[in-house]
Amino acid sequence: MANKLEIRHLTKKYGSFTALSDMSFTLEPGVTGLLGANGAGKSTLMKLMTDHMKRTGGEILWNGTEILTMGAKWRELVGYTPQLQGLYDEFTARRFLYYMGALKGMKRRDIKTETEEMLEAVNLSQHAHRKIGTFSGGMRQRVMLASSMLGKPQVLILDEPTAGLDPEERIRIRNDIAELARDRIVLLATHVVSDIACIAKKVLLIRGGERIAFDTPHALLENAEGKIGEFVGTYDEIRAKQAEYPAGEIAERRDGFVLRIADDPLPEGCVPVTDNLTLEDVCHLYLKGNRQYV
Amino acid sequence: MYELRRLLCDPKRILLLLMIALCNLALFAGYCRTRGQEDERWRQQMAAWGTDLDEYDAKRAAEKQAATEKYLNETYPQYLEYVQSQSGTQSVLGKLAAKKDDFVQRNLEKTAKDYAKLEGIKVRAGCDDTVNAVKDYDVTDYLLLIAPLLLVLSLAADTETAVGALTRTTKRGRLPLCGWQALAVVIMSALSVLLLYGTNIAYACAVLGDPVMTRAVQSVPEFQLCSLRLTVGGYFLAAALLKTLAVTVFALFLWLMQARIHPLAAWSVSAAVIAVCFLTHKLILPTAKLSHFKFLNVFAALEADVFFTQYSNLNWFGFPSNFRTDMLITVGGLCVILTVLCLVLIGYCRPGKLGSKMELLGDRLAQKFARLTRRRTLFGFEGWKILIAQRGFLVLLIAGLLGFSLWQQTHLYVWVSQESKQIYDQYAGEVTEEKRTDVANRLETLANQIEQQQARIDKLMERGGDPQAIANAQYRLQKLQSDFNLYSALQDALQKLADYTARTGLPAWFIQQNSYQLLFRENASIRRGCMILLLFLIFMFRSLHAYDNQYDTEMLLRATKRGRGHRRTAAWLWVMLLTALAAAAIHGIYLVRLQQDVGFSMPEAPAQSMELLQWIPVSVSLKTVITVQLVLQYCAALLIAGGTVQISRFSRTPETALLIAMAVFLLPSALAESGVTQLHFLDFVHWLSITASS
Repeated sequence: MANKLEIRHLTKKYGSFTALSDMSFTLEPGVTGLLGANGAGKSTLMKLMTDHMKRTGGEILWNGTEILTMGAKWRELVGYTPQLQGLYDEFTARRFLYYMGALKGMKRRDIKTETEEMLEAVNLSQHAHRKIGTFSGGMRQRVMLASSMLGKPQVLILDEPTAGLDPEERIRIRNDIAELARDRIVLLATHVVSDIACIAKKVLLIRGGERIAFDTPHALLENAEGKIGEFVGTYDEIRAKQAEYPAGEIAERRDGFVLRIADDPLPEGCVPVTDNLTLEDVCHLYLKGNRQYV
Repeated sequence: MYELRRLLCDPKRILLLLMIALCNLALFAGYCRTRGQEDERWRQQMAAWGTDLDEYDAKRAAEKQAATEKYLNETYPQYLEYVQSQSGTQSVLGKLAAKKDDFVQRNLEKTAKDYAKLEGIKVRAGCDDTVNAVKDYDVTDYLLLIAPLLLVLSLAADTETAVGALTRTTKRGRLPLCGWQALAVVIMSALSVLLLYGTNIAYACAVLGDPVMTRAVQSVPEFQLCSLRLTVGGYFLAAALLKTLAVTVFALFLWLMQARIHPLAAWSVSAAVIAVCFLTHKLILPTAKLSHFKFLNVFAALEADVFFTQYSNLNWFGFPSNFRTDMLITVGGLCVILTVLCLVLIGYCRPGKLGSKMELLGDRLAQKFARLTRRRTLFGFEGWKILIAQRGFLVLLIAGLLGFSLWQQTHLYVWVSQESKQIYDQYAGEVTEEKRTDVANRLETLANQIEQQQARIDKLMERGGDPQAIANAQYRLQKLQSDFNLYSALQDALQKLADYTARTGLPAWFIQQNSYQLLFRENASIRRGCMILLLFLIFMFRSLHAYDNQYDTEMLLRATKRGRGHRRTAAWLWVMLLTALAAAAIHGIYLVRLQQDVGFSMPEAPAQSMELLQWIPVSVSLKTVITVQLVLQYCAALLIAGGTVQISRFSRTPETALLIAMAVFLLPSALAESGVTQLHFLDFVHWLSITASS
C-alpha cells in the first residue's frame, strides 16, 4: 500500500493573525508543487509538517497516525530543506553531511557511503573538504539538498531547493528530485514555476493562508483556459493597459508589444490564449486578487 | 579612519573590554589579599600562642625597616662594586691565561660595562610591595590577550564572508583597509594593556602604598640585577610597552593564520607554536645553554618581569649580547614581519595568489588528517562544534595557561613549631580518658617544674649569680611556660571534644587542623582559582546554542530524528565533561598544593573533630566531607554553566551571549570581589568556592 500524508483542517494563528486557515489535502508518492506568494503561509505549513512549531488546530496523519504521537519516528521519515540556508560556515561539506547523518540516527558505515553518494549527486565531491563558509549560494543550496536526501527519507519537504542554482544545476537537481519522488512523497515549494511544471504530479496553490487549489497541473491549465489573454499594441498603449491590469507581463514580438494578463472574465479587446498556457499563467490568475478556483 | 571607528568604537567590544578589565581587577584584588593573608594567618597564630600583637607588629616593622636600610646602604652598593671588581680580577686572570677571545672573559667585561652606566645611582626607600605585586601577578598577562584575539578572529571571519568580497571590490578596500585593520589591532592591544595593567598599578598604589615613582627601580631588591637606568614609573611604562608589543605579535600571528589557512591547520599550527613558546619560556633555566629560546620568546616579553629583573648575556658564537637587546630585536622584528605579512597576504594578495597557496597547503593538511578528526557520533560532532567551530580550543588553551600560572603561584604555608607538632602527633586521634589524664598529669608536672625553676631563678638572683646561668635558667623557664600553655590549650581542646561527644553522642577526635582549616574556610587563593573557573565557564559555553542561532540551523536540526533530545543530551554531556575537567583542575590544584605544602592528617577522622563542622548532624569522616564539598563545588560550576547555556539559547550571536553572561555572572562577582559587599549574595565566585563551613 502506498504511503499517505493527510493534512486535515490545519490551522496556525500568531495572536490574532491567521497564517494558515483550515488547510486540508492529502499527499501521495510523487512531487507536489507548493505555490504561493511571499507570506502566503508556505513556510508555516512546512514548519508544521516537520513539527517545528505548535499548531493551533487540525491534524497531520502519516498513514493514519498523528505525527505528534510518532515523535522522533516521524522525523526519521522526513528530509527537510529550510528556506534559510542554515549551514555552519566552519564545517566542511563532508563534515556537515556526516553531522546530519549522525543527527538522522544513521549507521556509521551508511553515513560514509551515503554522504559520498549524495556529494556525487549534487556535484560537490571535489569541494567536499572545503569550508561551507567559502561556498557560493548555489553550492550551499546543494549541500542543503544533499543533507535532506541523506538517509533516504520517505517524505521530502523542500522549501525553495533550487534557489540560487544555475540553469544546468537546476535541471540536474530537478531530475534528481523527480527520480526520488517515484516512491516518496515530495512537497516542493518554489517561486520558479517551471521547476514544478514538468515534474509535479499535483500542485497546491495557497493564498493568504488558505488553500486555493489542489489539483494536477493539467487540470489547473484546463481550468485557466479562456482566462488568459493578450493585448497587442504599441509600447505606450501597452504601458497604459498595464496600469489597469498590474498582473500583466510585457513581451516584444514581431507584431508589436504584447501584454499577457489573467482575468475572469477577460477584459474587452483582449485576445484569449488557447495553446501555450503555462503554470505561471495559473499563478497570475489565482495568486493575486481574490479569484476562486472552481 | 571609519574602519578604526567601526572596529574600536563598537559598543559590544568596548563593553567586553571593560568587563575583562573589571574581572582582572577582581582577580588582582584577590591576589593582593593573598599576599597579605600569609602575614595575617601568622599573626593570628602568634596571637593564639599568647603573643602580644602590638609588640609583634612593632618588631616586624623594625625588622623590615632594618632589612630595607641594609639593602639600600650596604647590599646594593656592594653588589655594584662586586661586579666591577670581579670584572677587573677576571680580566687580569684572563690576560694571564691568554684567553682574550673567551666568551666568559668578554661576558665579564660587558657586564662591568653595562653596570658602569649605573654609577652614582641613588636608591631609596618606598613601598616595594606595590611594585612586586604588579610585577609578580601574571594572570593579567593572559587576560590581556582576550580582547585583541577576539578582534582578529572577527576580522578573519569578515574576510571569508560576503563582507570581505564586497570590501575588496572597492577602491580602498584592500591594502589601505588592511592597514587600518592592522592599526586597529595595535591600538586594541595598547588599550587592553593600558586598561588592565593600568588598573593593576592604580589598585596596588591605592591599596598597598605609594611605590614612589621617581626613585630608581633598583631600590626594590627584586630589581637588583637590572642594569637599566630606570625609575619605578619608567619601569611601569616600559613594561606596558613591552607587553603591548607581545600582545600585538600574538594578535597578528593569529590573524594571519586564521585569515589565510584552513581552520584545522591554522588551529593546529597556532596551538603548536604557542605551546612550544610557552614551554620553552617556562621550562628552560636562565643559565642553560638553550637560554636563547627562553629569552628570545614572545612569552618573555609578555610577562616582562624577566626583562627587568634578570641580567644575562647570550652567547652568540663567543660574543656576549645582552638578552634585553636581543629580545627587543626579536619581538619588534616579529611584529614588523607579521604586520608586513598581514598587509601583503590579507590586504594586497588576491585569494588566488600567495594567500591561496597557504590555504591550499592548509586544505591538503586538513585532508590528510581528516580521518582523525572526522567523527560520526553525535557526541563527537557536538564536541567538534564546541571545541573547534566555536573556538573552545582557544579558551581551553588560555585557561590552561592561567591554570599553570595559578599552580605556580599557589603556595600555602602554615608554620608549626617542632614542639607543638610533637605534642599534637602524640595525642592525635580519638579522645580517651587516658589521654586526658595524661595531659592533666603532664600539666601538673609542668606547673611544679615552673615553680621550681622560678624558685631557682629567684635564688640565683638573690645570690647575685653568674648572669649567663641566670639567662639560661630564664630561657628554660620560658620554654616550660610555653609547654605549659600548649598543654593547657590541648587540655581545653580535649575537654571541648569530650563534652561535645557526651552531649551529642557523635565522635570527635583530636587532629592537626591546619590543612582542613585552609580547605573548609574560604580563602583568597581558592577564590582566585574560582574566578578563573567562572571566566572559563562563560567563555566556553557562551556559544553552545548561540552558534546554532547565528547560522539559523535550529530549524534544520530540529527536523531530524536525533536533532532534539539526543543533540541536547550530547551537548550537555560535553558541558558536564568540560565543567568537571575545569572544576577538577582548579580545585585539584588547590588540594594537591595543600597536600604538598601542609599535608592532610587523619582524613578518616570524624568531621565533628573540627569545631566549624560540628553543625553536621550525622557521623561522617573528613574524607567524606571533602568529597561532598568537591561535589557541591562541581554542582555550583554546573549551575553557572547551565545558566550560560540558557543565555546562549536565547542569544542571536555568541558575542551577545558572552556580553549577557558577563553582565549576569561576572559583573556582580567582580564588583563583590573588588569590595562592594552589598553584592555579596550575587558573588558567583563565592558559589563556586563553596566550602563546608559556608
